[in-house]
Amino acid sequence: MNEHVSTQLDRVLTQKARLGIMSILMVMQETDFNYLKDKLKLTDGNLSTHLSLLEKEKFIRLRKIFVQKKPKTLCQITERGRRDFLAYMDTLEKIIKDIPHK
Amino acid sequence: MIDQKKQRALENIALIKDMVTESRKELHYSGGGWIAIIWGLYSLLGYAGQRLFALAKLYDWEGLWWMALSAPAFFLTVLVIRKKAKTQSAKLRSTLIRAFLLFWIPLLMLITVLIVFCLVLADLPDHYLVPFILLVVSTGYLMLGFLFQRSILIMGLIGFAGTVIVTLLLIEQASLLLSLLFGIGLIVTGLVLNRKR
Repeated sequence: MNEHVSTQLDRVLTQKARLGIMSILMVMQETDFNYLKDKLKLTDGNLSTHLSLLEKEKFIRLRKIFVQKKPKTLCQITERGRRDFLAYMDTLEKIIKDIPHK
Repeated sequence: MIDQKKQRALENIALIKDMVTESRKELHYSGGGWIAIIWGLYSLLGYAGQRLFALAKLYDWEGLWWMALSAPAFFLTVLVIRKKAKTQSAKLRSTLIRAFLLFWIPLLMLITVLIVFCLVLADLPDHYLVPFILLVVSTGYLMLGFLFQRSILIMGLIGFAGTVIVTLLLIEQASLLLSLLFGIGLIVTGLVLNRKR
């Protein structure tokens, strides 16, 4: 199970930006598009691409709302995203522990 | 190959750690530092104005001065909250709104009732007005401090203890001492909160 999860997340999180998005959402649970753009210093297009991929993999959920008639995109981590990210963290720790020092 | 894998794992952990630490700081920072500074200056300016009106024997203006000063203080507070809300996560925003409604609305109601009592009830001398208001405000800081920030909790404890001591021992100098205590205390709290950010 863990190996499968880690492989899947490893593939998705090869990009530092996606790793950053998931890390922020692990703490914030839900945040808006502009907040992520500001924190990760990404362009609109770039961030959209990363978010779409994470949504496609069901790690996050995107929803649009209107605040004072202006559209706002909210990004929320899913239960699966949270669980798999924790498993991914375990895998990273194992990699570091398992490899013997020279 | 193994070293590469380990190197990548280390880099990813470092990135996750940075992001999580920064997000946690952001989650706990609500613009409270600037708000504390605004209300600290309000206390000091309020007392300075009150003294000037007293020296000019314009006693009716003392209360009006405090009320007039409250308007820009509230306006600036709302401005700070609005500015912060633009970049805040929805989770933090709802937490702060809940905290505000939970603590400050009932406390503001209590302050209003105490002010009315002091003005209406002849048995209640109006020099107890300032200690009453500040005890309620300190209670608010204590509650918020327990929930969010140790600096606010310390301000609440100092404010509460200071108000009790001044009321029991130095009631004649209450306005001066408590304005200084809350003015300087809030500015220091604000600076600490801003530095911790």
